[in-house]
Amino acid sequence: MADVLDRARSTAADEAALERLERSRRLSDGTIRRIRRVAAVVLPFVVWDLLAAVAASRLLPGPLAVAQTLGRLLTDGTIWFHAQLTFQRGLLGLTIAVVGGVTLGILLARVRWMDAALEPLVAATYPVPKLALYPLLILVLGFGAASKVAMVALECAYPIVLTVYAAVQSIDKHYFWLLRNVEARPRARFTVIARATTPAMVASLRMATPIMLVIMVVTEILGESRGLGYLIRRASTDFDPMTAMAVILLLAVIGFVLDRLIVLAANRTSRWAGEVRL
Amino acid sequence: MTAVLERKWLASSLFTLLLLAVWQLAGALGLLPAYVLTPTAIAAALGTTVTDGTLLPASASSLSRQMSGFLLGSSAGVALGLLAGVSRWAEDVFDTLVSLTYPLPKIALFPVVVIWLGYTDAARILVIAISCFYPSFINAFAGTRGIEPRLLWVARNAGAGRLRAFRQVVLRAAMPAVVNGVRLSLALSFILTFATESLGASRGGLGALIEDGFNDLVYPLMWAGIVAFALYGFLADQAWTRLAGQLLRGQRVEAVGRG
Repeated sequence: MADVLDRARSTAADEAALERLERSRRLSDGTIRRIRRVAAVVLPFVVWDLLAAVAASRLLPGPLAVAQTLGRLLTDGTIWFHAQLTFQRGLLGLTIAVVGGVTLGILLARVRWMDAALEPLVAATYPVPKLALYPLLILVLGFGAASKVAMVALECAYPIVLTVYAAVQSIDKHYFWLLRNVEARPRARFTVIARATTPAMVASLRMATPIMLVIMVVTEILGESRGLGYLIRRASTDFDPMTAMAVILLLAVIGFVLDRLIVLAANRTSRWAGEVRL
Repeated sequence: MTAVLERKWLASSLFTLLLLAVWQLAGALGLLPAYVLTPTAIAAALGTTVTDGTLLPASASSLSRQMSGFLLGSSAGVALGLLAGVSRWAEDVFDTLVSLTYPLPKIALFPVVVIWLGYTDAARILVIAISCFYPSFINAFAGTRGIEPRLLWVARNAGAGRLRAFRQVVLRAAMPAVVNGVRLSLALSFILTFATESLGASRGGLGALIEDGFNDLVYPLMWAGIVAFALYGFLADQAWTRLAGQLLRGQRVEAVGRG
């Protein structure tokens, strides 16, 4: 009897010990992963710094020098003027793309003749590089802000239209039957569509924002005397990679912040959107 | 009317023809500015640029840059994306780096790369490859993440080794996402080819051709370049979709998105 009790007790102790071991291993596992992740970010900078130290050339500035340059550009204020212009235009183009794209996407999915006339056309022109039309847009709208806003809107609208179209089409038909049965007002119909498509819309915004940044930078490099893209090109023609890299660093930070903001919005809206599920 | 609507491609083609006819008519009535050619004038411009030997060499150098960059970037993206999907070590390293640098417009690197390499094909191909890497990596990684774990358990239970489980389960399950990511990379490679060719002192290629037409007010040249670019982008996408259909026999292609 005592023997059995003893064995049971020792098994319990074993299990507890095992669990402790397991927990500490899991903990250290998490720590190791965190260390690896930090190392993955830090190591490229260390290599870059070493390379810059070995090269000792102004054509390859080290990360610290680039960060200092960015700090200087930020404090003396020159970069703000350019950054502000880039973002005003980029966000205006993106807003136009979202409003137009969502409207068109919903219309294509809900109106039969528009679907038939336009959807294959939109799908066929999706892989076409619209950027090649930029010289034409310059001829129509001039070198200023309008041609850039139009270019951003055109490139960004495509993923939004196609994502929203697919999302509206995948709404369960029963909802629409139900809405018709209870003679729901247009507002209720709109709410159903809005809730069902919100996750797709946020996802397409996450696709469109990097496109917006690419188009803004390209169009400003091509022909402009203002904006972050122009700053990079001017630094490049001056053989000043320090300034160019500082602007790129700023672009990376801004892009990252925008992406995080969209993810945050996605988490906020997903609960509201999820409520439509029966 | 409903019979036409049933066949979407027919309806859309008719609609496109209508648009082209209106465009042509507006041109014939003199309503369009000089730089907007009519569809027939664009077709004629394509014909003359092909016969006078300007379009085809430019196309060849553009497509060789685009292809080199695309193949390098997207194959590296797919390989590392799949690796990050099955190895925790690779996930920690590559996923962290990719998610940090993903929102940066990679074309911004081109002027800096040009300082080191000059306006060379190496500089262009490098920037195209870096851009193409991202959609391929992100989608391949997402594809391996989305695998039903029970499928893997079954495979391992049935005695499949790591390599065999990877080949027969992971690779197949991730294939739709991989195909989608490569498609996004392909579309991106054309955008980047145009951008890197029309910047600065670039010579040769369709981007430079379009810029030349634009700067020298030779609009037929500009239009021929634009239409050729559009055509290659469309045909490359069609070719990839066909090929993907073969790769995915019996599987449903789903959009994971995120360019």
